Amino acid sequence: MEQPANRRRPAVDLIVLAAILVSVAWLAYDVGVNVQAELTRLGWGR
Amino acid sequence: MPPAGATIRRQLTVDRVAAVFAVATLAVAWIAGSMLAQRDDERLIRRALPEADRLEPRGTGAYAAYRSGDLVGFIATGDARGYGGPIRVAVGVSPQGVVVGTAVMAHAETPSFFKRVASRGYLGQLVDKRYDEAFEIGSDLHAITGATVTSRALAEAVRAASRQVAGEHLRLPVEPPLSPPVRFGAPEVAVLLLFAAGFAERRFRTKHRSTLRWATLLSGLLVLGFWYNTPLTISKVSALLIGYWPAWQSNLYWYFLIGGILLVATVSGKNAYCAGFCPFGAAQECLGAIGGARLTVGHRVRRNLMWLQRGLAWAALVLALLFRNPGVSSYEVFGTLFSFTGTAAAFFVLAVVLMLSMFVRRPWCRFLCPLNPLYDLVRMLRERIIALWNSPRTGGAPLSI
Repeated sequence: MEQPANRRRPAVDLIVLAAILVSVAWLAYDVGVNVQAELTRLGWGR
Repeated sequence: MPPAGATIRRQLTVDRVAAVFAVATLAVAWIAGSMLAQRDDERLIRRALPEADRLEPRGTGAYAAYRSGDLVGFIATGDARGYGGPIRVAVGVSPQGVVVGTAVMAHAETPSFFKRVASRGYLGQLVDKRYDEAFEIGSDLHAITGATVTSRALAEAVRAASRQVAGEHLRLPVEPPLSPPVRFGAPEVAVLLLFAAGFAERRFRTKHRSTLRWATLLSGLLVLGFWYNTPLTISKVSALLIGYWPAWQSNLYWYFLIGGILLVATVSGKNAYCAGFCPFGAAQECLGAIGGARLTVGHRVRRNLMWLQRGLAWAALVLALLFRNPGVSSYEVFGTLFSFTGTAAAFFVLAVVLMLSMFVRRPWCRFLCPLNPLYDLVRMLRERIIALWNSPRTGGAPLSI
């Protein structure tokens, strides 16, 4: 449900965006490690 | 500035094009994954009996292994359910019925559990055992601490494969496998009750609606979250897409949960799980109730993050289908909250999400959860099908629902 517009702060966008992007970057790194392990298991990586 | 109607139409077109692209690429990933798996199967199977220089298929997925023309054993594959999903192991068995080698061919196990078992050489315990030994944790095997379910699954897979070789190819006496008992316990009852409560909440608009909603949310959090740690994850969905359908007897919970979600989505178009009793959503709402969760995110940022979320869900599914391993791209932090396990990244993201939840409503669900875009896709397909179904009766004009 949409919240009252007067509670919006310009900084909120920036903080949420930064928090989500940093989270995604770190999670993507984790997934990358899994993918690398999978490639190694399949004999494609090293 | 274009009129609002034109903007909405443009967004709908973009959504539809993206949905078609997603479905098409997922289909390609599925096909490519099957082809890659077939290509790699023989190479991985060889690892179970590396001394063999020739393998000869013997039906039911087993191979006879030869070295310089002499039979050195048989290789078969065994499957079992781990904590996160199925595990398939190739098992080399000598002509005397002794396990001489093992190789994990594929697994959908939670990566942290699997790494723990693999790094501590657990598979070594399974070598040199005869096919008729127990292969039971606590009896003739020691589980790896913190990964008991994975340890048990690997033992079951090796036991099944070695007994298959012994019975079918070595003509040794083998006890017939017991069919798994039907497991209908507290988690199954809980999930059915939660669906019923969600239905009652929507159907009977009483003054206690808000109380009922909080009751289902908190039950989801405590029972499906902290007690049983069985939230729906993207790896469950990708496992089903790959074709890893677990035995219904011991997995009624998952069939009730996924079947119920699809049934409610098909009949009413509602998302019974996320809004109703998703344990992680409930955790965020509890924190939101404490902090107020009154801050809103601007439309533009929200829209961009929505596309990022859709991209994440798409990438997670494509990777899982390509590698035929649902665990490879699972990035949810549910297990980190409910069983306190996970990587540093998972703990960091969990902390960020829980902190944000106090000020912004359900940040994980709205910006990161891969299930939300999947639900959007199901809803879009449903609307399209209804429109197509109705169009002849309305002179070709699709009905909105």
